Amino acid sequence: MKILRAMILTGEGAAGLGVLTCLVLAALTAPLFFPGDPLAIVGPPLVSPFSDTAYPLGTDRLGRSVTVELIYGARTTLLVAITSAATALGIGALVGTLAGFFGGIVDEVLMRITEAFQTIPAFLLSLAFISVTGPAIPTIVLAIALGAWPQPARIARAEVLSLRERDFVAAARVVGMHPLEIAVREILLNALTPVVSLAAVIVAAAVLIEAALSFLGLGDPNRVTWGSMIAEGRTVLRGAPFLSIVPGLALVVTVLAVHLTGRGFVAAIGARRIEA
Amino acid sequence: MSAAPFLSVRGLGVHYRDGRRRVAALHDVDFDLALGGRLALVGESGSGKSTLALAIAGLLPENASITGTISFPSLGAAPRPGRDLGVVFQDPGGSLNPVLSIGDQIAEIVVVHRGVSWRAARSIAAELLDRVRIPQAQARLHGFPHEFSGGQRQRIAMAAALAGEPRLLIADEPTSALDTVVQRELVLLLDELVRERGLTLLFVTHDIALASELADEVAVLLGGRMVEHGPIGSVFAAPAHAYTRALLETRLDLDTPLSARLLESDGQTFTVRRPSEMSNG
Amino acid sequence: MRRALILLLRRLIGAVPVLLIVAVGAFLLLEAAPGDAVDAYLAATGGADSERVSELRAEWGLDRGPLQRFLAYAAALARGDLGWSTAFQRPVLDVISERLPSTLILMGLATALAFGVGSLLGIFAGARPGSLRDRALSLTSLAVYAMPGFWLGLVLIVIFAVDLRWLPIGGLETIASGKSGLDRFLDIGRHLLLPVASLGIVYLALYLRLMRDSMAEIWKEDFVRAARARGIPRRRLILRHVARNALLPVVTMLGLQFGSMLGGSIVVEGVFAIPGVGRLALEAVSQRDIPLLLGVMLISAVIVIAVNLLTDIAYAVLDPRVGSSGTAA
Repeated sequence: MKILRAMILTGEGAAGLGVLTCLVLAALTAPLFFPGDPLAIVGPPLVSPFSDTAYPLGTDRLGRSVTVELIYGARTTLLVAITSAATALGIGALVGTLAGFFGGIVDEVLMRITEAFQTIPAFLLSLAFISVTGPAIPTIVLAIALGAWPQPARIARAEVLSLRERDFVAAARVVGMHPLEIAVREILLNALTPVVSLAAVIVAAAVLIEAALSFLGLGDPNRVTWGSMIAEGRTVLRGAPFLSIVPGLALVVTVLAVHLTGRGFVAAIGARRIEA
Repeated sequence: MSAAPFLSVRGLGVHYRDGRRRVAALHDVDFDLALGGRLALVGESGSGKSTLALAIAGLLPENASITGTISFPSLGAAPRPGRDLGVVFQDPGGSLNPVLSIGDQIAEIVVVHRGVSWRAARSIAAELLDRVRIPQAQARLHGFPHEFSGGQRQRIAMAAALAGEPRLLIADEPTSALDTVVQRELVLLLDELVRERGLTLLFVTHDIALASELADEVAVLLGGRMVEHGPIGSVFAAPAHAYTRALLETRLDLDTPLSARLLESDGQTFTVRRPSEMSNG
Repeated sequence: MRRALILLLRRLIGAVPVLLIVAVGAFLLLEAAPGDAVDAYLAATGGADSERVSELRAEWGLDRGPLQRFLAYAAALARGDLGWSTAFQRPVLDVISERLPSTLILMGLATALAFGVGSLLGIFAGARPGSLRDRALSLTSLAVYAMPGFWLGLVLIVIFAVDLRWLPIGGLETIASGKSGLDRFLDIGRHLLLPVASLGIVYLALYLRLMRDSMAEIWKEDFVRAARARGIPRRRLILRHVARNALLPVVTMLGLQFGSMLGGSIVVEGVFAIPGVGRLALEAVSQRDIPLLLGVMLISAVIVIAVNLLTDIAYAVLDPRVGSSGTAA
């Protein structure tokens, strides 16, 4: 909790957290305020934004409300971004810990595999995976996680290796704690800062990859996403550019907020270290 | 005594701003240094001796604020770094740019201060390196700092400090990071260089023995104040301040940890603990 | 020079197991896809009776066990045979080779823009960390890096191609224009301006921040203080001492981020209809041409490894400490 306070004190953390909180609230309460199908036609097509209070951000070429689409799009974006980041961190932590713990051949093989995954551009990997499995939320999440897990794996492995350096088993016996207890505490404490800033980076990247995938028509066809909105708007780019620009701005604001939150966290941890 | 001093310090105080706190490092320091003089600044760590040297060199960090004056009467203007004063730092590994050759780094200083061509500067650099006893100086011009030992790097740093032909050389614990054998070589070299170029020397040390070797004058710092200052012979023979007296009595190397010291103080008086009075552990 | 060559050799040897694993991954994806090469071939040629089908399978080695199929696949890869593109009905390698130059030009120019201009602006910002221009540039680059490349592309199209009509909307050159020599060069240049900008500007922001952060760290180093003490004037100090050292971690990032930019080029090529390998991947996806897609994946891995190798060499040239065993006695 003190960390949260310290984060809010930094300008970046405050801005980032503020925007993210609004976003999450909007996404969670969407069905409350805007019940029904977001893809339902509510008015005349191509109404300009800010011209009609019934549709504050205008309507798209089929007459669907941009505002409603935008808010429902936030749900998909946040859902995919957070679950894929969590999955990537999970896979990475597992692989990295195994590699660091067993060492030797296991470590070599796992590290080569990690390297191989890092050599293929993440987006291309997601594309290949999706085209084999077909687009749906779970496969999209997995596709994004496949590109993002190598970094957490390296950090996890580094943490475990540094732990092995320190003779914590003997130290644990001296202090009277179970070695596993010390190990977990040490890992969590040291890895916290890089993991959180890494998490921010992965979430931000996941948002952008998901947007790119749905822009290309490879997102979940049953859901509204900001990427698909941009793709739709492309067909009327000459006449109604706002249809593509507005969802893009939403993406920029979201990614920026995630980055700022991550930086706010790092700054807060740093400041606390100095005061301690 | 002759004309105006080379360096004149009046009422010098230095504060560091650390977040919301202000930490005082120096209080009300007054002293003069004549041209050609050799002054040793002696004290424990935290006494402010390095701060004083850096303040005179104009190299204090940004969060430091200065009160009082530091003037160089004979220069007529603020001293130009490299040209009027040269500095040698404590850490030999850190004072050289790792990606440039030592020849380039020293030649650069020569070009900046003496306005000669790069070619001429390089041969001057080779001469300087030769003077500080780097073997095969001409060939080693192309060497990089990581290829040299600590002692060699410190000698290269000295050459760099002198490349601009300054009048004052400031050395902040130049030998502390080196082992004793290398230390001796460096001290002898320093002595030679100062003598042959008629330099004014200001050096910081915790080692009293070193001070008595190199310096004519000594100033003792305690808790940010200069408690004693005078010719080294008289100070050591008849110290005026209790702290100095106690230091000399124990022939202390001021770098030893507090618990091992034979000196106790309550800020005003200093007593020497006899070995029989010391407890175990 | 010798240092660099030894490094090159070691990296090349290290790349082999990585490529092997990529091949295994590609093979697994190939297996996971519904149907196999024979099915795809038959779908294009109109089917055949079951006897002919098993004949084809035997011919192409698709009737044997998975391990043998993998070995055949790996052997083919080693020969440079990347399989058969079902969408184009030609060898995958041929199709990719045709499209590769466009992508390499796009990537090369975008990287030059991002790294070149980004580093310079980063030096400008990092010359005085905490100053107004530093904070302005850092904040702006943070916002720019948050932009999706394809969206930036669309925005640029709206501004420059639609509203101002200065630049073309897409394609690599004006179709059937019959231009050659300098004219053709300029035509292609005009067409590449927006795609290179869309791809490059986002990464420019990244390199700006990296350089700026690196410089902020280097300013704290002892040797910078020592250089100031020696009277090195400010401009020289910034360029020869601070920036020259700050460059090193940024060059490392160049190699690491190249794969990411390659991925970004896929969508940018799609938006601007550039006939490169990225758009080829998109076509492969829409036409379910898995062999082609995997061929693109393998070639991308090779390119990324090659670029990483080049940046490693560049780093070794820039940092004399690389490859040293330690100090002399």
